[in-house]
Amino acid sequence: MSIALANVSVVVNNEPVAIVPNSFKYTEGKGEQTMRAASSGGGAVEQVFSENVEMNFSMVSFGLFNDIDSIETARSWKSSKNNNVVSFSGATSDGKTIERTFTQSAILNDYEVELGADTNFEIEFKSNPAV
Amino acid sequence: MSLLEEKIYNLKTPFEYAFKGDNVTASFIKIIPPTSKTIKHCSVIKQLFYRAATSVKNPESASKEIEEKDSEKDSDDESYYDVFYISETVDIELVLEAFRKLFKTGVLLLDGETKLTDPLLDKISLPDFEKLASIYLGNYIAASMLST
Repeated sequence: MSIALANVSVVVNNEPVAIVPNSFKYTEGKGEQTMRAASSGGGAVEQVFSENVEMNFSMVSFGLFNDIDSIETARSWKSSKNNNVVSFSGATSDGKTIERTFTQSAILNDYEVELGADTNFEIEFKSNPAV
Repeated sequence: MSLLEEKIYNLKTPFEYAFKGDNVTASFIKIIPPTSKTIKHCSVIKQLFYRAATSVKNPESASKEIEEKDSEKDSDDESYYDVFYISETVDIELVLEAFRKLFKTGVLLLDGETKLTDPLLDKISLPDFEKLASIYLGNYIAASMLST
């Protein structure tokens, strides 16, 4: 039996961040690979594997509630351009742990802040591949 | 010794932290003397220290115990913090919490620039934390009491 990880601690620029539960997502930044077939005659094919390093960047995204502190914090991350470091760590009850760090993170999109009684907003960083 | 003198503490156990977009390794901590801004936190620690120091039932054996511990460390390493461990009346958790609160106010700057936060305090090794607490206590918070 394995236990799914659903609750992680997020730290941005050495400060802990309270996020919307179940909203955390990230990519490892390993890019995409393609596989093509080279015909070698008689219906046989040979595999041509290639790595597209063009998008070897990580993405980290999570939701924040629309309190003023979070709105101001997100604004400061956006202003810091790619001088942010995001990291997260998590542990399951069976003692297994995970930790990733994303250096030179930047919020590239002009994120939307919804101001409502039951709303939140999503922040997405692009960064160096996760380590 | 001036109470307003800043100090540099070289970390025995360096650790990584975020700085200007990259992970860098911290090597030292600049210790800033207290001001009236941190008086609340300093007073709590001072009170706990006085309580611990006066509660030691057998001061001679206690000081001997501290000296023995000190002899195992560097010659200039004075462990004022150990008084809390020896005391039977002061709860060490309160002391730890008080020091953590104080250290987050900006009296300790990582590599002379970065303010300590909870995740950074979690990365400081126990010997480094105890030494920093001891330096702060001995040089600033309880300096007047210890110099007599």
